[in-house]
Amino acid sequence: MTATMLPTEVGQMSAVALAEIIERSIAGNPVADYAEREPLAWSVIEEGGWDSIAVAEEFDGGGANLRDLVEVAQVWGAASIPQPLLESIWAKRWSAQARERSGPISVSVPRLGVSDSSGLAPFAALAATGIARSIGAGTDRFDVAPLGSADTFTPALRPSVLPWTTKMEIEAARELGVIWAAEVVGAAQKLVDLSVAYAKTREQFGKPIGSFQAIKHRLADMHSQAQYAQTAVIWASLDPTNSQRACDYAVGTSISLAEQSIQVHGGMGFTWEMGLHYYLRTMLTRRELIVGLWA
Amino acid sequence: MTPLDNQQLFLDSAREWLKTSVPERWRQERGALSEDEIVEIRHEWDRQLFAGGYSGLAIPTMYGGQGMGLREEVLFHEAAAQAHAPEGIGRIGKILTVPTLVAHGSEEQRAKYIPGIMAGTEVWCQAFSEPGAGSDLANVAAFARKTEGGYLVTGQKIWTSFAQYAERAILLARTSHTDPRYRNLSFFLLDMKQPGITLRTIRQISDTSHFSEVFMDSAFVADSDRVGEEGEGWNIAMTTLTSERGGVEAITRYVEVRGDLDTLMRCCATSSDIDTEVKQLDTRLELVRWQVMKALDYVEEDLEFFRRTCMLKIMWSELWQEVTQLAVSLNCRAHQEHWRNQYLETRAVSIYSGSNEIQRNIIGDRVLGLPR
Repeated sequence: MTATMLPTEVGQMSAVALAEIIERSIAGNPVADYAEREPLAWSVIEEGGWDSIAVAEEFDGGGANLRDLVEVAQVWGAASIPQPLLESIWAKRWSAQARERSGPISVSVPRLGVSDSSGLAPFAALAATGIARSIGAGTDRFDVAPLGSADTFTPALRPSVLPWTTKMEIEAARELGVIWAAEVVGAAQKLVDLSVAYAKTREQFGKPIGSFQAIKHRLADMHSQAQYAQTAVIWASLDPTNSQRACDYAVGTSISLAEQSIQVHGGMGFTWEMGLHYYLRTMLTRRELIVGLWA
Repeated sequence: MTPLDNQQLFLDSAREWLKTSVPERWRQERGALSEDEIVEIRHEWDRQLFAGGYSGLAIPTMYGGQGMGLREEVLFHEAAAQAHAPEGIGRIGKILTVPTLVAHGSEEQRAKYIPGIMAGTEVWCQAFSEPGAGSDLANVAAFARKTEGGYLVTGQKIWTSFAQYAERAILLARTSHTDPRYRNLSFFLLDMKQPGITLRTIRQISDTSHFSEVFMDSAFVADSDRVGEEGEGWNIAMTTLTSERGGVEAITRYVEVRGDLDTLMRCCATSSDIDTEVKQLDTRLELVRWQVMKALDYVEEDLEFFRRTCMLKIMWSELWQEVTQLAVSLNCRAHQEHWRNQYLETRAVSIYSGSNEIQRNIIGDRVLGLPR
C-alpha cells in the first residue's frame, strides 16, 4: 500500500461545500438550539443535488466513492443535522429505484435482543421519509413514513421502531456501516474541538483550566484518539476485509471521547442545554444500528 | 508512469535488495552474537546501505542523499524492518545531525560532515540530556567557555546511545550565565575522540547497557563547529527533536511491535479469555501504520503533518508496553526469557525521546494551542 489516503476531488469539494451550507443554516448556533427542530429543509438538500453525490457518473451523479463519503459523513456528523442525508446518498448510490424517488430515504435495521423481526429506522419519525424495503437486492421498494413507535432517546436521529427491516445486499450494508461510523467520528472530533475551546476560556483558580496538566494531558489524549478514530474509518473505507473491526474501534473510541468531553466541561457538560448529550445519544444509537447492520 | 507506479517500483527493488543484503548471521543467529559482533554488523550495515543507494533517501542529492521523499524513507524502513535488517549505528547522524545541518548548518559544516554520515563511515551520538536536564531540557548546565578559536566545554551528559563508537556528538551547552532561559544555549559539533572526554556505561534494569554517561572536562570545540549563532541552541535543538519524533521512527517501531504481537498471537496467548484484549491490541497496532500513511499526505504542510504525527510516539510506546505486560503475565515457557527481557526493556520507551508526559505537553501547547 503506497497510495494516497486522501479522498478524490469530488469528496474534498463536497465536504467543503456541505460545511458551508450547514454553517449558513445553523449560523454558529450550538446543537442544542436545533437538534429538535428543522434547521435545514430537505428541499435545500435535494435542490443542491446533495443526495446524488455518490450516484455513478453514468447516471448523472457526482461519482463520489466510499472514501469520499467518509469525508462528507464526518462533516455531517460534526453538525448533527436531523435529516437522513447520509442514508439517502447511500440509497441512491445503490438503487435505481431510489434514484427515481424524490424526498428523503432511510432504512430499518435489525435490533439485537428482540425475538420479533422488528427494526430500528433512523428518521422514520420525520413525516416525509421513505423507508426502503430492500436495497441492492433485486427490485427495491419503499414505504412512505410507515407507522411506528417513535424512540425519543435520540432527538437528532428521530428513530422509530418498525415491524420489519430493510433487505440489503451485503456490500451495501458494509458501506452504510462505514458511513455511519464516519458520521460518529465527525461528531467526536467536534466534541474534542468544543472541549479544547472550553478549556481555553473556562477559568478556575484564576487560570484557564486548559493550562492545568490534568486537563491538558487529557485533551492531548483526546486529540490523539480522535486522530486514530478518523484513521480507522478511512482504513475501513479502503480495506473491506477489516471494515468491521476498524469501524467498531472508531465508534467505541468516539463514544469514549464524548464521555471525556462531558468531563472536561465539568458541571456544564452535564446540563441539557449545553447539548453535548445530543451527540452522545446519536453515537449510542448509531452504534446500535451498526451492530444491527452487521449482525 | 504515475508517481504510484514509481513508488511500487522503488519498494519492489528495495525488497529485492534487502533479501540479498541482510547478513545471514544476523537473520539466523542474532541471539548468539557477541556485543562486538553485533556492533560490527550494524556498522557494516550503514556502509551497505550507502553502497546500495538507500542511505539518506529523503536527503537532497546536493548533500549526498537520494533526493526522494519521506514516503520512500518510511516505505524503506518498513520493508527493512520486515526483512529483519539490522539497525545501523549511524542513525543519530542521519536522523538528527543531517537534518539539523541542512536546516541550520554552514556550507562548510555540511560539506565536512554530511558525506561521512551518508557513507556510514562516521558515527554520531547525541549529547543533550543531563542529570539535571531531562524533561526540563532547557536547564542544560554543561558550560562552553570561550577560548582562542573556540570553546572549552565542561559538564556531564547522560543517556547517550552509541557514545563509545561515535566520532562526534551533537552537543547542547550553555554559553551564557546571564542570558535568559531558552537563549543561553548553543549547539555544537563535538569531537568525541579527544582527551577531555570520558565515558561510563549505564547498567539498565534489564541488565544490558545501551547508554553511556559522557564527562567533558575542558573538551575543545572550534568556532567553526558551532551551529548557528550563540544563544540559538535551544531553537536549533527543537528542530532536531521534532525530526526525531516523526514517522520514520514510528514505522520502524511498528514493525518491531508487530513482531512481538505476532509471537504473542501465534504462541503465547492461547486462552480465549484474552482474545478480545489481543484483538484490540492488534487493531490499535495496525492503526499506527495507517496513521503514518495518512500523515504522509500532509508532509508539505508542517502544522497539518504535525497534527497527525505528534501522537505516534505515545501510541507505539504505550502499545508496546501493553503487549509486553500482557505477554509476561502469560507464563509462556517457550518465550519466557524473551518476554522478561522485552518487558523490562520497554519500560524505557515511554521515557526516552521526550517522556510521554512531555509529549502530551507538546500536543497541548503546540497543536491544541492551550495556555501554558
